[in-house]
Order: sequence, then structure tokens, then C-alpha cells
Amino acid sequence: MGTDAPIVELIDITLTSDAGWRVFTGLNLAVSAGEAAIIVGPTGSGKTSLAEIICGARRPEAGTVLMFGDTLNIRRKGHLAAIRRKIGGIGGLYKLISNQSVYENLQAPLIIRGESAARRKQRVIQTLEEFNLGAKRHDKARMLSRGEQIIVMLARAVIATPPLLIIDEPMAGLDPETSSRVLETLKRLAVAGYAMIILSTGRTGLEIPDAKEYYILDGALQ
Amino acid sequence: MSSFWYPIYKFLRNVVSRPLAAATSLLSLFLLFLLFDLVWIAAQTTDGYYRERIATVEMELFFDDAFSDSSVAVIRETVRALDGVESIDYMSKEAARQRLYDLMGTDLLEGFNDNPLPRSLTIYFHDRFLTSDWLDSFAERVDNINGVTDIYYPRAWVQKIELTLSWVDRAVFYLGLVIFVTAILYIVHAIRLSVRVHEEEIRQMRLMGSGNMSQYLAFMYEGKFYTLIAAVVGWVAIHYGLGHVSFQNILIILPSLTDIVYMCIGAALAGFIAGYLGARRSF
Repeated sequence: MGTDAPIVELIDITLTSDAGWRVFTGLNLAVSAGEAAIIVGPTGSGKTSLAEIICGARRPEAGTVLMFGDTLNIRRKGHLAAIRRKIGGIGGLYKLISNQSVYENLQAPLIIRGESAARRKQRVIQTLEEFNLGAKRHDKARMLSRGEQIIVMLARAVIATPPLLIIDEPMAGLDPETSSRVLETLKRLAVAGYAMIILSTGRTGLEIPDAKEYYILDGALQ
Repeated sequence: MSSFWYPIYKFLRNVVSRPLAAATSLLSLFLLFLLFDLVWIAAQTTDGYYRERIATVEMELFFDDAFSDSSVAVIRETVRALDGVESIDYMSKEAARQRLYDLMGTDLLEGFNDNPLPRSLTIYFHDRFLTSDWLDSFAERVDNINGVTDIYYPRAWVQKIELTLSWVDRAVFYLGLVIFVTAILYIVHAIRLSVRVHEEEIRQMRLMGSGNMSQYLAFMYEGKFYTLIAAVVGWVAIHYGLGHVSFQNILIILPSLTDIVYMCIGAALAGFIAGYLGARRSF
């Protein structure tokens, strides 16, 4: 359930694509802690660009990006890294490290946070069990199916319990069985109190109580 | 694995995951450092050889016949007290004649009523004073002494040796500089390739909140590893090689162990910095 103070606030964002066309014109978005925002838009509407702006991979031409109550300044590398540690990402920009095992991928966010070896091991094993990935722990990420990759990405995104999750096209290319597994996991995470920004080309079928649904139309959220 | 061990783990993984690239870097740098070491040894050996030659330089003072032996003895003591003088030999007219005889095998002065050869002092110097400029100033001082008619020392020869040594020093400096710059450029390039290979992983680590420095460090260790190993193996190879060869009349002079250790530390530091430059340019 969302609280009043937004942890992500985009105000009057303007962004032009590398090809020169206007992606966003005065886009506004506010997501509070524990709240879910589902953003739907066709391919090329700027969903991934939105994710890039939120995680500081891209700077808009105009507008303000407030993350966790602080203006996002991507030139301040330490500040940017600290903001990014509060975000768990799935899909789009966020990918698994293909030449590393599931275990190594899962422990990466914990290494970044400087967790001890014992704590890391305990947390990774716990998460592997939680996401039913125990049998895949030694498999290289590149060997996994698309569905398995999404599940591992979800597990990696939440292993360090960041307050915000950015989920880009979670259902793309999934068979019905895996889709329902992913949907179940997302619902569970929403109930657990994670704030979520879910980006999708179509309706996800995800039913989260109090989730806000937006459509990207003409460079703004409707 | 703490944030301290993580870059070390990553660097080892980088090296092990691309053994061919690691071997190429090590071999290339080994050859560069070996060349540097050989140039250094050649310079030290040349310097030692010429210093040894210069150490034999002496100066001869010749005296007017009208000047008494007691006055020459006083001059001898005066010169002995001057800075840089190690020892002095006095040669009487008779001793000069005997020396000429010894040299020529016959008495060239037979039939002369008087011995025309002058008395002389041969001055030997401490090594550290032996430069052409210092010899000139010394000669100027003794030239002002009353009774000295002539001064001889191999000025042109000393100057030629000094010029040779300065050219050797200059050649070693520029060659060393070229080798050093080549090694740096090589490491920067090798690290850029390594970053390119691990681009995906670096991008994901940064998206998850890894700081730049913790990503740079793995590549800085990689650069340091290559240069340190190449530098150390270069010296080991030289020591092994020199144990199996010998040269007549040439004493091979190796740099001191301290200098070698400093050189290896310097190489490691250069690799560390080049690793940083390579990573920074690629991120």
C-alpha cells in the first residue's frame, strides 16, 4: 500500500530521441513507497527510455527527476550509485550477466553492498529456495530459457530488498505456464511492499490492488 | 568476498577467462622489459668501462732547469695538498733518461754533454674529480706556480670519453622512454580490450549500483599483474642467461638489486596507472 511521499517523481520531463523525434513532452509520474505503477505503451513509445531516466542511465533535456526525495544528478557518480542500489531491475536495460552462474548473478547486488561472505551465502541460498531455483544454481545465465531468466532477474532484483523495482516487459516471449509463474511472483512482491514500475506493451494481466495504470500517449502519461 | 576481495577476484577471473590474451600481454611486455633491461645493462657496462679508462688519467708537470731541486720539492708538497690529488711521483732528469732508455731500448742522449730532459711531477687523481673541466681548472692553478714550464694531460681524450658517455646516457634515456611509453600504451590498449569483453557485466554491475572505482580496480590489478610479472621474469631471464655466458675483457655490470626492485615496483605502478587509464577511457 502506497504512502504519501513519492520515492520516484518525474516532473515535466522532456526527452528527444537520438533520431531527433520527441519522446516525452512534459511527462509527469509519481510513485510512492509500496505503490505499483503499470505503464502501457506500444513499441517505441519510450517505456525503456523512461526506465533509463529513472535509473540515471539517461538525462532528459528538461524537467526534474526526484529519486527518494533527492534530485537525481547523474554527474555525481557516488550519488548515482547510491540511488541505483535502491533499485532492482528486471528486463530492458537490466539483464543477467550471461557468462556467470545463477548463483554468481544473485550474489552480485550483495557484493556491491559489501555484504559479508557468510551473509551473502545465506541470502543467496534463501532466495534460490524462495524462487525455486536451487537446481539451476550452477547453470550459466546464457543456458537458461527466457522464462527462467526472468525468474532469476526477479530473484536478483529483490535479493538485496531495494525499495523500488523497475520491470520492463516481464511477459514478453513467455509461455503461459511461465507467465503465470511470473505474475504470481510479481503479485507476491507487490504484497510484500515493494514499489514497482511495470512497463509493458500490452495488458499484463497483473492484478495488484491499488495499482495505477498509465498509457503513454503523445509523449505523456495518460 | 568483501568489496576489497571482489576486484582481486574479478581480475583473476579476467586473466583466467582469456588465457591467450593474458599470455600475449605477458610475452609482449616481457620482451619490452627485456629490451629495457639489456639497454640498461649495456649503458652501465659502457659507463663502467669508460670510467675505468678515465681513472688512469694523470697530469705531468715539467720544471725549468734553473729551478732548484729544493724548490721543486716545495712545489711537490704544495700540489700534493691540493683538492683531488691522490698521489704524486717525482721524476729526476736521470730517471727520465733511464725511462727513455727503457722505452727505446737505446740511449738516445749518448753524446750529449748535458741531459736535456726536464724534471717532472706525475700527478694521480681521485676518480670522482676526473672531468675535463676540473682538469682544466687544476691545470690553470698549477700553471701559475713559478718554475712550471709545461703541463701535459690527455684533455682531448677525456673530452671524447665524456661526450661518448653523454651520448650513451641520452640514448638510454630516449630508448627507455620509448619502451616505457610503448608498455603504457600496450597496457592501456589491452585493458580497453578486456573492458570491451566484460562490457555487459560492467554495465549490469553499474546499473545495480557498483561504483566506478570498484570496477576500475579489477583492470588496474590486471595492468599491474602483467607489468610486474613481465618485469620480474625479464630480470630472472637475464640472470639465468648471464650465468651461462662470459665475455673477455668486458665486465658486465648489472644494476644493483635495489635498483632492480625499484624498476619492478615502477613497472607495476605504471601498469596500475595504465590499467586505470585503459578502464577510464572505456567506461
